[in-house]
Amino acid sequence: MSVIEIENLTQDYQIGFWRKRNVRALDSLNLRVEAGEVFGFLGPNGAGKTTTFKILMRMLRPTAGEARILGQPLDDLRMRARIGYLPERPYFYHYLTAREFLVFCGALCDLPRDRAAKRAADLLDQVGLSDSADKHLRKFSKGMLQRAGLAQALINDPEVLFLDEPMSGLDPLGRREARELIANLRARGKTIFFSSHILTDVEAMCDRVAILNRGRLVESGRLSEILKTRSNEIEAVVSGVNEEILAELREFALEVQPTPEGARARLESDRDIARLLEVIHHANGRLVSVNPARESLEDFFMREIGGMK
Amino acid sequence: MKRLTCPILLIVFLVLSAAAQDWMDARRRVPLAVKETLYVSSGESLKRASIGFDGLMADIYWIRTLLYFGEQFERQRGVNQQFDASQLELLEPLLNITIELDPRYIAAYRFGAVFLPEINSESAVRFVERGIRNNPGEWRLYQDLGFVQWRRNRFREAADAYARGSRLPGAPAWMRTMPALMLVKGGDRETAREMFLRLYRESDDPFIKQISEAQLKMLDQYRER
Amino acid sequence: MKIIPIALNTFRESARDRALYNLMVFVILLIIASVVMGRIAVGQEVKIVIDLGLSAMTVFGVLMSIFLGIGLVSKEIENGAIANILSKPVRRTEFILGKYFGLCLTLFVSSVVMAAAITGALIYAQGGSDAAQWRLWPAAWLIFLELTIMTAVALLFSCFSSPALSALFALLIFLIGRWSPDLKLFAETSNSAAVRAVSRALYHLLPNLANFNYINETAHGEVAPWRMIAGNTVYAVCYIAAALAAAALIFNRRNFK
Ligand SMILES: Nc1ncnc2c1ncn2[C@@H]1O[C@H](COP(=O)(O)OP(=O)(O)OP(=O)(O)O)[C@@H](O)[C@H]1O
Ligand SMILES: [Mg+2]
Repeated sequence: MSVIEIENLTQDYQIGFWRKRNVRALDSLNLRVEAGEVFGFLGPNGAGKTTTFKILMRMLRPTAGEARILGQPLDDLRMRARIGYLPERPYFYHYLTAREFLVFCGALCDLPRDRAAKRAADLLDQVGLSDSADKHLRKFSKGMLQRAGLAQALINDPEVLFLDEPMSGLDPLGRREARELIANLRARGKTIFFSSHILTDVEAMCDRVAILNRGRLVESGRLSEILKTRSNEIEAVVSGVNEEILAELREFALEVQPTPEGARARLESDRDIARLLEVIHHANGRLVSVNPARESLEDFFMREIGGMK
Repeated sequence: MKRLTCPILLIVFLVLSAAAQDWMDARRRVPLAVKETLYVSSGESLKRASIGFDGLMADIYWIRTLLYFGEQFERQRGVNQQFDASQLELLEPLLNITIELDPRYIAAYRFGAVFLPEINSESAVRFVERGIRNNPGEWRLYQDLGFVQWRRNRFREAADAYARGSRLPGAPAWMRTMPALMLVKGGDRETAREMFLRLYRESDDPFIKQISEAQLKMLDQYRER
Repeated sequence: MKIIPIALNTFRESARDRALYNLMVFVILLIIASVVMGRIAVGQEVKIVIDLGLSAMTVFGVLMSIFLGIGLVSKEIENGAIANILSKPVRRTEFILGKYFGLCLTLFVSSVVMAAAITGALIYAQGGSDAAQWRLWPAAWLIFLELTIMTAVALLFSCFSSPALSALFALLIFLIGRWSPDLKLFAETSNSAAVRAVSRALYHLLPNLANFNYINETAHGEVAPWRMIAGNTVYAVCYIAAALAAAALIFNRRNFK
């Protein structure tokens, strides 16, 4: 059984005051997320990611299609007690302290008061807010609110987590902590469905992704399947090279891109590696890395979506 | 089933609340209108409180006057087939508030001229004279003053009022004949008939029409006897 | 039942709202002022303190219940807090009821504070306590009932129209509700059967708020009879239940874009 089942989900927004017009934000979306997966939900701005979350969270009734979570219809309250959600723009009652807010959320999830208080303290520690636990949310920065939102989504120790752009507003440290948190949850068998624009994060964390554009599913599957591997090509990163060396590299490399530290070179096959080493050793440069060249998610976006616009 | 819970609750409780309301209305001893009509006793203070909406406020008080009158009218006729305007203790204050809010409310003066004499003829005269002071160009108010004076048997004053009114622009020809009628046969039954006939024909107020019609019928009965 | 935590949280919101305290201080100052005014009108102290005190309580209470009542739901939709609630195991109806009862709790506490302030002012004005001072409490209870009705009305409007329009509608309903005897009179005396039917329907559909006004009688030394208190309480409960059912009906179908 899939944990999240989305079938033919379609959402029209009505816009215009006098002459009402329908705008299709989501067009027959089909998606399945399996238990224990970390599933990335990608797409450019306005693709319909948040719309999907809003339907799953009972904010919108879809124009057509249906969805189930944990095999239950969306209105099932027992199912609701087993999931957690971080909204895209978290707003929480600003007159509450972070701790009070988490205890309140616990009460909404039927947690007994003492359990909720204990869990709130643990989670505040986990998201790095224990110093601000008794500060009013009014005085929280965007990133702090995002952390509080993450803690709130976890208050009932959910089996499935829905995170709409969990990394937005977080500092680099926060992002790494959030990545670790997600990895941790995954290790404990939780299912995580999240949207993001930060492709490196997605590449680092996801088992599978779905890519959405203008409300339609463009592609879904394992990253390794989606991203083309370019036959035998090799990508090498070097440092400490000068213009002369770059010119020399250009003679045999398919592509050379200068970087602040040195350069990135794409080679036709691993046979060219020896020549590359020779050139840079000669100039006292250093080899940083050698990898089979794989299309990055960014390239994929450029190719698939840039072309469609 | 679940879908219907809210609509059913809505209807059930609306019916229950209506029942509770009727239960309380039935239990009230004093009729609400009498007790509550006078939120204020002075039109002057109300005028200040109405922050410029005094015309509208005057309309509201005029409507209240008619509602109050109508309710009393129906009630008295239901009880003893008779209508006695002298029991309408709130009529005068209500009318006064109306004209204090809007001194040019002619309908209110005319209404007062017909019904106030039964309560207190002195104050009826004062009421209509106040109307004339506020609206000196309105010949109908002189007709009303003449009517009020005639009912007090002050035929000289009545003749004077008609004479003054007949000189105003727009006054009809019959107004000029009234002073003579008053002076010569003020107390005659024929004069009374004429007065009430005029009232009946001139007025478009349903209450005044009903009352003057009843008076005419009574006069006709006398004549036949 | 998630109604209780939501209600308590709503109460906590208003308890931490500074504007509300300012309002209360203002009302209490007004009550104190009524003592001074009572001194000027010799022999009328008690009447003036009760008149002014209970009237101020009504006016501020109604403003509070309308404006806070509209904010209850519309503010949560506006700022997105609703997303957090709906994702949790909470029924939409529970949310509406929790919000409503939370504000009622606030109104109850502030009504008690204001009635206590009036009682205090009376004790001071009369130079000692007197059993008669307690007769204002039944009148205060009626005012509280009126406030809870107005809150339900404001909440109902805010479920389907903008806050500004809702405020306007709710104020209109308050005015018409206070004039409901005239509506009844109109229903009984009109010549046209259609007008009679419409005004009768309106009379029963709109809240009959005039019944809750016992200020004048209280100021003249009457105590609201228990039958009236009971009848009004039953009426208020039924009317509020109907209004909340309508609010839930609308709210259950709404989309939050
Ligand atoms: N309340 C609304 N009314 C009308 N149209 C809307 C509304 N909300 C979203 N849309 C439209 O629906 C489409 C999808 O929006 P959505 O917010 O789901 O995008 P998204 O994928 O979350 O984008 P982002 O990455 O910027 O968060 C957009 O074209 C947007 O203009
Ligand atoms: Mg979005």
